Amino acid sequence: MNNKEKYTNVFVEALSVDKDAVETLKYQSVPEWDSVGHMGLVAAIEDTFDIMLDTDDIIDFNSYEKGIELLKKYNIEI
Amino acid sequence: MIVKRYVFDIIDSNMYLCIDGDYGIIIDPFDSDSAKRELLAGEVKRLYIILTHEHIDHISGVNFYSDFETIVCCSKECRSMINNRLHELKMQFASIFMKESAEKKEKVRKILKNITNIKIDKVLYDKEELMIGKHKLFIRYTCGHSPGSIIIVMDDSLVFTGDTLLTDRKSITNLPGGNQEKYDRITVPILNQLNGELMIYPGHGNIEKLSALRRK
Repeated sequence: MNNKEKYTNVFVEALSVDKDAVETLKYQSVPEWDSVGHMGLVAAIEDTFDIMLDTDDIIDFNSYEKGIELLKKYNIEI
Repeated sequence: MIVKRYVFDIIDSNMYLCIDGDYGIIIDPFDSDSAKRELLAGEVKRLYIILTHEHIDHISGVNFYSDFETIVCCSKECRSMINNRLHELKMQFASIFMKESAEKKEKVRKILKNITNIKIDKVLYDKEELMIGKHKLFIRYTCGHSPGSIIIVMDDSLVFTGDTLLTDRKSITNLPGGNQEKYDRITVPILNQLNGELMIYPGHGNIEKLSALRRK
């Protein structure tokens, strides 16, 4: 599984959303991505890529796309 | 002893400050220049900082008062959460502000950046009596809202309840680490035993007499 697949999979599992729908996801665009869902999502990303997100990044991480941009800071290319 | 209430503008949590002679007690600290001025004016030497639980809005100011000789106290479970799971606690707090204004987010960033190296000096146990000067603090362990929650009955006249008992809404138990079953089984009986004449000093919301709250 490459990083893109891993990243997509995190959204599918953490937010229980369809794989085809993840790329347009934004914070609160689905009921599952609320503040509690956000915590689960961040925790799953940290586990999957073995990183610890900076709190600034946790606040800035408001879409699927933004997450890809943020992960570059941790040397994870998607 | 006069208990002064300070409200954390970012999330409306309450911090309480009591000064008596050259010692002071702060419950659930956040950074407040006004509280610090009060402590300086009172010539406080020794400051007890008591955390009702480990959530960021109740611990963020611990290090802000380090100019004083501080003794930071909380439950064993609260200490464990702070020592081992501070990142999760910060993440939980940050998540609340995802939809807030850029200005508020900036404040949150600053708060979270400053929360490092929190050292707990004293663990408080269930049914422990802590004498601070001539004041008696009676501790009850009240998990459910969070693993490390306690309430503190002071001088049999008031009780600092943190988020275990709020006056304007029900306590929340669905945050990570919360547990409704434990709240019902362990904490509710403790709350039911409290004297109705006690004044409740909650973690959020207004101060109210327990008997009045029970009538609601």
